[in-house]
Amino acid sequence: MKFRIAFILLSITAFFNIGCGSEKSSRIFLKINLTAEGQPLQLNTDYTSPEGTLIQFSMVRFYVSQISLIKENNEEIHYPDNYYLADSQSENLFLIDEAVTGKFKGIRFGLGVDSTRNDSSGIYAIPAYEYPADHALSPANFMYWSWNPGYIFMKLEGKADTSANGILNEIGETFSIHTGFKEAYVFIERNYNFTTKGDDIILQVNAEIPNFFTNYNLRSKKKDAHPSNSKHEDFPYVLEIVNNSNLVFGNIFE
Amino acid sequence: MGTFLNSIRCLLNKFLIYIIGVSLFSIACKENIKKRETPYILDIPDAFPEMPIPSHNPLTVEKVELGRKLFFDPILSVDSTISCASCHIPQIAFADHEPQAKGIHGKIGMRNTPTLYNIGYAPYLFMEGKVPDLETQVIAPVQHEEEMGLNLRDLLKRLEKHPYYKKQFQLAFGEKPTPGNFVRALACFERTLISGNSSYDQYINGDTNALTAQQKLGMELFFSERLQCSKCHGGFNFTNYGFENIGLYVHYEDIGLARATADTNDIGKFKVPTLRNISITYPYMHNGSLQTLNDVIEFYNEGGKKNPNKSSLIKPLKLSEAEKKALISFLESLTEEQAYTKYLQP
Ligand code: HEC
Ligand code: HEC
Repeated sequence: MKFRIAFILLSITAFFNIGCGSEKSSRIFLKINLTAEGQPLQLNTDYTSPEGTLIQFSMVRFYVSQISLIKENNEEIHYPDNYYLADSQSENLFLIDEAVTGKFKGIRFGLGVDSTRNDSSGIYAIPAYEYPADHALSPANFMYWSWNPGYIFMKLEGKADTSANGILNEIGETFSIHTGFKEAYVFIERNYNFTTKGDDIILQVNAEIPNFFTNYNLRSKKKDAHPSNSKHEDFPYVLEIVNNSNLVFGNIFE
Repeated sequence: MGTFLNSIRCLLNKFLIYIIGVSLFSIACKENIKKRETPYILDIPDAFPEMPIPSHNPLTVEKVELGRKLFFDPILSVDSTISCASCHIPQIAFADHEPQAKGIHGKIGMRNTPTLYNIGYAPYLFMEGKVPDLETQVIAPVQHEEEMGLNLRDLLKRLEKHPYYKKQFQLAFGEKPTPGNFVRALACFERTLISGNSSYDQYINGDTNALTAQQKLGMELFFSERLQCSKCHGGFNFTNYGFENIGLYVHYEDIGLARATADTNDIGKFKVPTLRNISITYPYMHNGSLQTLNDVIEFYNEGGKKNPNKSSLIKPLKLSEAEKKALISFLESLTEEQAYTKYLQP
C-alpha cells in the first residue's frame, strides 16, 4: 500500500517537474572517444604506432579529474570531486554538471588522480576502501597499487611486434605501461565556445591512443614500465608517454 | 506571471519529493535489523601496551564475529577455494609452512606468509611497510591475482546475497556490505589475534620455573651485547618494526624495501619480523629459504653474506654448539601452543 502511494506521488511529481527550474541551464557532459587511426579503438586489432611498430591494445584505461569549465570572462567552474575512469570497453560519457548556465570558451582536465586524492599523507586523502565499489576511485577497478597504496593513472597494455617480422603473437611481444605519481599528472586544455540553452551539451573529444607512443619506439625503449614511485628506473619512460598526451587528445566538438 | 506559477510548481514538487522520501524511508526501516555495538574487550597480556584502535573502527563483538567469519570463508576468492585462513592458518600461528604463499589455482606468490599474531600493534604492514593499517591491507590479498583474485565489486554482490552476511552486516554496521565495512570487520577480527602467554611470558611474569636452564642461557645470549638479536628483535613483540638487510644474499632477487622506495640503499631491507611463535612458523625469511631454526642460527653465526646494505649488527658470532642449542631452545620458548583455539568456530 505504501508503495502504491509512493508511486502515485511520484507520478504527480513527474508531471510538476516538467519545465521546472531555470530555463537557461544545461547539463554538461564530457565524452571521450578512444580512437586508433581515426576510427573507434578496437581491442586486439592491428594498428601501426606513430613510429611504425605493429601494435594491438588489450587494455586502455585512464583517469580524468580536476575538470574546469572556462567561462568567456575567464572565470572557471572547477569540479574537484569529479573522478572518471575512461576505459576501452565503455562509452566514456561523463556527466560534469547537472545544471550550469553561461557562455564558455574552453575546458581543462587532468589525466590521472591528483595528489589531493592520491597522496596518503595529504589532508584530503580518502582511503580507497571508503569509495563505493562502483565509484571510479574504488580499488575494484584495478587501477590501484594495494601493496604500496596509490592510484595507477593509466594502463596501456597489449602487444607490439618488437621483432618487426609482421607477426604479433610471439613470446615476449607484450607491452604493459602503468603510469602514476604526481610528476606524471598532466592537464589537457582545449578552447571551445559554447553557451548553455537548456539542452544537454556533450563536449566530445577524440583520444587517439597510439599517439601515446609518439617518438616512443617499443623496440628500443621499455615495453613494461611499472614504476613504484617517481624515482623508479621505469619512471622516465612513463613520463615520456604521458608527455605525449597533448598529441593524443584532439579538439572539442559536439 | 509565468515565473510565479513556475516557482509554486517547483515548491510543490520539492514538498512531494520530501513526502516520498519520508515514506520510503519508513518502509526501509521496518525491514532493518537494528545495529548493535557491544564493546569488545581485548584480552591484553599484562606486559603488552594498549593496542592502538582507529577511532573510525572501534571494536565491537558484532564486527569481530563478522570478521572472523569472513577470515575463514573461501567466498573471498574467485573460485571459492582460498580463505585468509588458507595461508594464515590458526594452528600455525596464522602463518603456514609453504616457502612462498600458494594462492588460487596453485599460483605461487613472491613471499613467505607471516604470522598475524599481535598484528594490531604493527605500525605499518607488509615487508616494505607501505600499507598504513589493517583496513587498507585487506584489499591486497582479495584482489591479488596470485592470492584470491576476486574483484571487490563481485565479492560484495556475493555477500549481499548470502543470508548470514546480509544479516550480520546489518547487525554490525546497520547497512549492507560496502568496501568500507567489509575491511573494517576483517581488521577488527585481526586486532583480536593476540599471543602473549608463552613460557617466556610466564617467566617474566614471575614463574621462574617456566624456562629451563638451557632456555635461560639462550635468553641471556639473545639479549646480550655480543649477539645483539634484541637490537632488532626487541620489545614485547620481538621486533622494532625497523627495516634491515641481514645479508641473506649477495644479490637479492626480491629487493624488499627498495621495491617501494627505488633507493639502492634499501635493496634487501625487510621489515624486522616478530619472533613470537617462531618455532611453528617455519620455513623462515621473506622467501622461506631457511627451513629450520637451526639453519637460521647457523646463518647468523656466520655473519651473513657480503652486501653493501647489510646492518653493522650482523657479524660472525662464534657460537659454541651448546650456545646454538640454548639460543634455539630460547626461541622455542616464545611459542604459545594453544593460543589459536579461541579463534576457531565457537
Ligand atoms: C595466498 C596466501 C595468502 C592469503 C590467501 C592471504 N594472505 Fe595475508 N599474507 C600473505 C603473504 C605472503 C604476506 C606477506 C606479504 C608481504 O609482506 O609482502 C601476507 C601479509 C599479510 C598481512 C601483513 C602482515 C605483516 O606483518 O605486515 C596481513 C595483515 C594479512 N596478510 C592479512 C590477510 C587477510 C585479512 C587475508 C584475507 C582477506 C589474507 N591475508 C589472505 C599470504 C596470504
Ligand atoms: C639488524 C637487525 C637484526 C638483527 C641484529 C637480528 N635480526 Fe633476525 N631478522 C631481521 C630481519 C630484517 C629478518 C627478516 C629478513 C628477511 O626476511 O630477509 C630477520 C629474520 C629472523 C628470523 C626469521 C623470522 C621469520 O619469521 O622468518 C629469525 C628466527 C631471526 N631473525 C632470529 C634472530 C636472532 C636469533 C638474532 C640474533 C642472533 C637476530 N635475528 C638478529 C633483523 C635482525
